[in-house]
Amino acid sequence: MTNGKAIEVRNLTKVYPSKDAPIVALEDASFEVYEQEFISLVGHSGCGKTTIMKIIAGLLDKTRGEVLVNGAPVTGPKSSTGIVFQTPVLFQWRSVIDNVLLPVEILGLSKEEYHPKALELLELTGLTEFKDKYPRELSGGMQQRASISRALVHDPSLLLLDEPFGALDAMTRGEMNMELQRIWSEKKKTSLLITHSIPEAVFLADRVLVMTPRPGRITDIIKIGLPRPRTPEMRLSAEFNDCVRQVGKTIGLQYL
Amino acid sequence: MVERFKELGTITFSLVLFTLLWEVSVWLLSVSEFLLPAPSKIFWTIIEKFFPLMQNCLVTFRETIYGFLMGLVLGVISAIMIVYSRLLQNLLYPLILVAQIVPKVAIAPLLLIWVGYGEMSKVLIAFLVSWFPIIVTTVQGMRMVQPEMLDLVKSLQASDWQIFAKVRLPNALPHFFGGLKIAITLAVIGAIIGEFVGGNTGLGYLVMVANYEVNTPFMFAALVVLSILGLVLYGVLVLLEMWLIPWSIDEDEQELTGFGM
Repeated sequence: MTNGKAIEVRNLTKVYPSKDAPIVALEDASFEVYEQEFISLVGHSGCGKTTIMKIIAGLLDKTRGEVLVNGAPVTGPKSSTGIVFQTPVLFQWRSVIDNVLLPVEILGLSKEEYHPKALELLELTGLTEFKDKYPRELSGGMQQRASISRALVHDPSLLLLDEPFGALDAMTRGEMNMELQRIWSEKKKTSLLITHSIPEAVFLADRVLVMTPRPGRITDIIKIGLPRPRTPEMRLSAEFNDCVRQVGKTIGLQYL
Repeated sequence: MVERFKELGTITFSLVLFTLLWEVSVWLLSVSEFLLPAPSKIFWTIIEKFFPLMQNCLVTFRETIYGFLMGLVLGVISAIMIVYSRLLQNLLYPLILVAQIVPKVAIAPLLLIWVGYGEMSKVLIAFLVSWFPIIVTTVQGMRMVQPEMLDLVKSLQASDWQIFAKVRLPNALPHFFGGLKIAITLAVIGAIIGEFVGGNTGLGYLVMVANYEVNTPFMFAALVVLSILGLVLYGVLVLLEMWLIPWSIDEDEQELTGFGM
């Protein structure tokens, strides 16, 4: 990787105050993400994955340590970030296109100027003919695609995905993985994907960060050497399964 | 759509059947008119007394609407204050709750002493019964925002005003309309209570007069007009809702809020 560092996390610690004993959600986490890199962050529920993401997004204060995004310390939310949540979080009262344009509106940018951009993103996610529909008229997968379009519309340099496909059925999930890879290879946004699906993490990432819980720690960083673009058939290859096994072992799964 | 028509047909059928049964049984059992007048008799009474009925209906309509609008404006303002200030919430909620718990029928005579026997006392009672559901539903709607929605707009550095205008307010609209539908039906009842307690106009007053005169057909005529008034006001709100927030139309939910009281 010859690119510069998009995210630098050093000795990041987050302690949630609690009546009995303070909860250490995150202890001394250190890693970096290079520009245009795709990183997966994988681990059990409650191991601090979302905490890391929220701190990087500027939505949560850290207890100790250092977080730099594009070389600058994070002090609060920045418009250079696009977020996709586990649920689509679409605004029921807005049409799909208006949902995609929401960041533009909030940032006070010109809606006319960004309208073609929004249309282009809907094209990319295959939602062109649904642009004037309300979210409730869309399927779960389509809603999540709309929310990915929304995360990209203001051209953020960093895309944060917090278990974006966790609520989808397995088949839709596989399709969405392909879709996300396509979007990423076209837009080349630095991406941080949080997931608890190991195959999903491996399939999409350049590197996989493995986390273990209580206290939340990054135990390993595994480089995925699979060639791109990755195809569904690759999921059956020995190389892919070696990676999956390696990640699984680090997490502590015995059966792999 | 076909389903919809079928439903409408069933509803009409049940109403017609009910009216017919009523008519026939009154006729067969020769029930005295002052006990239970036949639907046809009520109908003719409405035609006969059309002018006074409409005149008094207009009075009740005015009292209801003014009270309702007062409840709407003050209800929304109180709701916003409650959502945005812990202090105001603690100051306002007990007062609002007490105002709601005290039976309006019981304080109606008091209001008459304070503001007189005119329309104002009825407007005030209509207001008192209608603002509570509006406050409760609006507060609920503004608070029940998905946390991720707030995270999303905060990650874009949204201002407090943007969070209010683009998230909390639209999010509250379906709840708010639920509250309005409850409030409008209560407002009619409030105005009638006021007219019962004292006054010399309005449909409630007509019911009282007819009662004194043991003029049961006229009493029923006033009741029918009153029901139609309530239904029309409710219907207007349903139409407004469909027009203003087409994205939230959920037939089942609508029925629930409709029969919520």
